[in-house]
Amino acid sequence: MSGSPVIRARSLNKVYGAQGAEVHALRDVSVDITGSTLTAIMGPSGSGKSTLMHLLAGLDRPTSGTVLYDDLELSSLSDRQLTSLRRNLIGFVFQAFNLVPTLTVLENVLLPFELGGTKPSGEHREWILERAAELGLMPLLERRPHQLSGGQQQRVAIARALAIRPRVIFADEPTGNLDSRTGVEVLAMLESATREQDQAVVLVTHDPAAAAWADRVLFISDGRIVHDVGRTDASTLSEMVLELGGAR
Amino acid sequence: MIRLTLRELQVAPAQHVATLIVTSLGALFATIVIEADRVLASQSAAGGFLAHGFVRLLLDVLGSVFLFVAIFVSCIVIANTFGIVMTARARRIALLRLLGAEGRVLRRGVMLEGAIVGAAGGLLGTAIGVAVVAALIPLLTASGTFVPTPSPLVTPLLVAPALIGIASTTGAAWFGSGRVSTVTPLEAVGAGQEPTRTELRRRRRPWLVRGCLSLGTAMLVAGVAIGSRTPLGLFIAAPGGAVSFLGFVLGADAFLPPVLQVVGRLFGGSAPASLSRGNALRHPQRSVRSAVSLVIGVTLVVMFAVAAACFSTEAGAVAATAGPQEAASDAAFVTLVLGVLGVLIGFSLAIAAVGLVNSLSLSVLQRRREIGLLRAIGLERRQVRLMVLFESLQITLTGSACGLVLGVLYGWAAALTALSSDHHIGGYFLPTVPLPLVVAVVVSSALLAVVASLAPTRRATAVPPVAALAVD
Repeated sequence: MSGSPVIRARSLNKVYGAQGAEVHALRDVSVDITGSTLTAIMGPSGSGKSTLMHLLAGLDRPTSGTVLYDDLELSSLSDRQLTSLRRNLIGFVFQAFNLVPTLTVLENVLLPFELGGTKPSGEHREWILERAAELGLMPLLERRPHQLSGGQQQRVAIARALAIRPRVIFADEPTGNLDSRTGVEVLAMLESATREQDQAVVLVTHDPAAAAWADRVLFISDGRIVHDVGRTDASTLSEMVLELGGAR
Repeated sequence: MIRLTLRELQVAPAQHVATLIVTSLGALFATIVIEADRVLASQSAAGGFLAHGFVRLLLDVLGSVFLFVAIFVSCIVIANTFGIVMTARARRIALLRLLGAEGRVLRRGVMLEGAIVGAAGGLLGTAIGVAVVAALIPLLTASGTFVPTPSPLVTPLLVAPALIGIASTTGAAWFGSGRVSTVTPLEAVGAGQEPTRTELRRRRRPWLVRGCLSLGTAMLVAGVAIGSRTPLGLFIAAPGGAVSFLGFVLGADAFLPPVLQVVGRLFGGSAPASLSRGNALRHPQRSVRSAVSLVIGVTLVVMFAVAAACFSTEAGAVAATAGPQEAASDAAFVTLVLGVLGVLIGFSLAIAAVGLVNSLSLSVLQRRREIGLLRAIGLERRQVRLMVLFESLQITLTGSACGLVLGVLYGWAAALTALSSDHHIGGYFLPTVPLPLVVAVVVSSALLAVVASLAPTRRATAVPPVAALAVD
């Protein structure tokens, strides 16, 4: 089931703010993100879960510690190399504002290629269109994002993330703006990416129902990983969340 | 990348309307200068205006300076406009960066946008300019101002405004899109992030400001000194003035906030007044950007007004000592030149106005949530209206005040350089500041501010209190 580590993070620390008013967003976090696995990162607001995602995705640099993609150490990369890494190895899906409003659905899906100045091969393009068809996007390819529902927009973002066949997909509260039924569809699509493409999917969420889809759930509290559990049902996850939040 | 650029132009052309207008105005400006120089030259040859050899030289020198100024002004305003467009597009840029676009590549795309808009504006402005001149000549001939003489309008020089439009807009797009490289991919992630936070990370270049100011001032002084021998000193003084002014514009982040603060105190201590004063101090860059486009316009207007007034005063004094026929010819010539100057001056104000409307609208758009919050906690609609108006006035009065001071200095310098070598005048003189014109400039720029704030004010008062709760 679980593949080899795609990302290896070691002793990550992240400190914000000036001296005397430091905020420790992450304290000595080490974690492996493995392929073919849907990993959920849970935690209350301000716990450091977004910070961890930013560091793992190379969007921000740790105060200390290392993030390794295979043998590539992120902190040693230039902005240009990081950009290329994001373009070629990482897919992103977010809660909102995922798509470029001026481009059509198809152009949005093919955007990572356009940005790299490349074109997908004929076979690759065929494959992308198959994924788009699975996601129900075929009738929408010439539309623009504002003509789509929230769920449809999210599916376009997933198609774009899948298009480059990334090693890892980061999904930050991807169901946050969706009704529960559409949210379930989106989660199912992310899960199938781990099955069919052997990809690692990192799902950042505070919603236990979403995290219940994950093969592995990491709980973050006060900048530390406090629980690291396998597949767990939503009600157990909510109890764990409530416990962390200091509920009475 | 090219497709993204073209799509940006195709789907959202509205964001470049301001640039198109400014480029067209600039090209129109340049076209009219070229045509005016040709027409006036053929007129002065046919009408015997060439009594003074130096008048023709002066005319050519002034024409070149005007052209230079036109390019300079539109570059600054276009760079500002592109800066504003990039600010409005920051979220989209961040998304592209996140998906793996290099900042360099994105910036090239923006330059391409600039080139395309510049080409369109350049052609449009040239066409309008030729049409206007073609229509004016028969009118002026009929009214007796012009002597009937053939004035061919089409000259190879007319390629220049279009080329200048492309080159200046492309260059200005490059300078104005500096923000693109400061947008981090991280900005695409946080939905609730303060949208202005990138604005705070602008690079500061104090050495460049100091360099421009000292080099420009030195050239200006040298030009004035050379001016006591020959009006050719203008060729040193004008770039010097431009460079020192560029220094002022680049350093406006440092120079203008104190002035804004002082002007803000004029409005008293009511809630809208103190709120708008707070806004100006909290987001100084935003206010400064708006004020600068006005400073440019007002400086130019006052500079030309002061230079022209000096010319009138000094040349008038000379004329009194010369023969009556020569005096009448001189007076007619001065009136003609002043008329042409008046037309040219209008452009700089128009360009500044476009910049101001643009900035104010964006300022309100960016503050939607904040205005919603103020409404939610009890600010009346009327007070919102006052708040925007005060802020607008604060900006324009600051711009006018700075423009007045700079304009008098530059105009005086220009007049000294151009005129002090004339054997009739021979020496330095104090600046003639035409008070009615200065008052008119201040009043009209204040009026302009009110007019420019109409649309943004309407937008601000339409913000519902629930906007405070919006995520985006």
